[in-house]
Amino acid sequence: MVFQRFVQIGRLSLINFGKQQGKVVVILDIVDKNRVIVEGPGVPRRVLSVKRITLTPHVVSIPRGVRSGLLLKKLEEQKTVELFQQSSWGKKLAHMERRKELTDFERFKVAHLKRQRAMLINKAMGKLRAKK
Amino acid sequence: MKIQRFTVPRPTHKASSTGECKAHVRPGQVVIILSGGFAGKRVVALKNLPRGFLLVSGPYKINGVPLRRVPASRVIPTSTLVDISKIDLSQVSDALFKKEKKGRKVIGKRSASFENFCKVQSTVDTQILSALKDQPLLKKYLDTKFSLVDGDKPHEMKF
Amino acid sequence: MPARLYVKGTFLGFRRSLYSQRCSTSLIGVEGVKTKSDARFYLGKRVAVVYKKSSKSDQCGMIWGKIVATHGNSGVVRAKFESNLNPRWMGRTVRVMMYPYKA
Repeated sequence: MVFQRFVQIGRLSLINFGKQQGKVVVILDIVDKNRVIVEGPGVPRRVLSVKRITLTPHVVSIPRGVRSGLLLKKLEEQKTVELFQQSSWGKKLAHMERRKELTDFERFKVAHLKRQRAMLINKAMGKLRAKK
Repeated sequence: MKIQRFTVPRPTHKASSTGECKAHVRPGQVVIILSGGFAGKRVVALKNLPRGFLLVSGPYKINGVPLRRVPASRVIPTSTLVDISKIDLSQVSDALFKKEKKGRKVIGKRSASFENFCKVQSTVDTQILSALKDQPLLKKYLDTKFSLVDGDKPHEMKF
Repeated sequence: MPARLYVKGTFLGFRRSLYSQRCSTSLIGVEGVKTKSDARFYLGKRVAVVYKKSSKSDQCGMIWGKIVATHGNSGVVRAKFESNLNPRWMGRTVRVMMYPYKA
């Protein structure tokens, strides 16, 4: 296996620990082999351990140590965050977030719909089996 | 400069002196009963009663829970509401729930107080049922028991 | 099927220092609770231990208690029971009920 995602300037990543868990950030500079400077929409600039971030396949092209204003502008221009959100990974995250917010009645509705779907599938499968 | 942090009154967890319950349940809210014979049932809360009790009804026709007084601390209020703003509860009083002295049972004959209870029950329930008329899914919801399964985290769940 | 309205917990041991332990306070790990702030949800909740009364019969007894405090930073809680738990039960599953429910 060759590595595909690198700790590099402009790499879009997710914070995977602490209060800001799940937020999207961009690597702006590399402090040493373990730490990087990151910033993102809603996340003020800070130093983070590489252990605390998960790298995504997306990269923004920015100069090293870029200022906040330009970073946000570049993100918007290149639609990097949107691209991530439209990827299956991003969609899954949004889906999980939505599931967490469900109320009791909504959870019931989900279970109900799942049951209905399973019923339809089983019916169709039964017909197919009968044909054989 | 006044520091805002210290001016916010702390919530008290004591019951108020009047014995009124901390009304965290609104009438019409669907609540989940947590203990007793009806544990897990989703029922409609009708009214806050003194001393931290709640008047609830299944309705009986849907899930078998009759008019009942339950401690408000033993239910989970959910965010689902049934519109019962026009409900008439004038017939419901503490006397309705009084148990009769045990005498000899006459088989096949209902006591007068039980007859009365059934009557009040059905009048209250028809009013709730009319509010639920066009919502088959909500009816089914009330008919289904709440249960935790492995991996559920009630401290993170929203109701 | 009866509804399960309790969270599974584990009786981890008694509150203790290096050489002594206080059998009057038991430590309980609640399933899925990993932080102190999560554990706060369970404060005041009732806990029950189900045990067999004798090895010969299937008769079960229950000891009730309640959660009185959090313990440490990783979501463990302290519980007091109406009678102290049998130390042989360490590692056993206990039931952490969902009531009294505070809104």
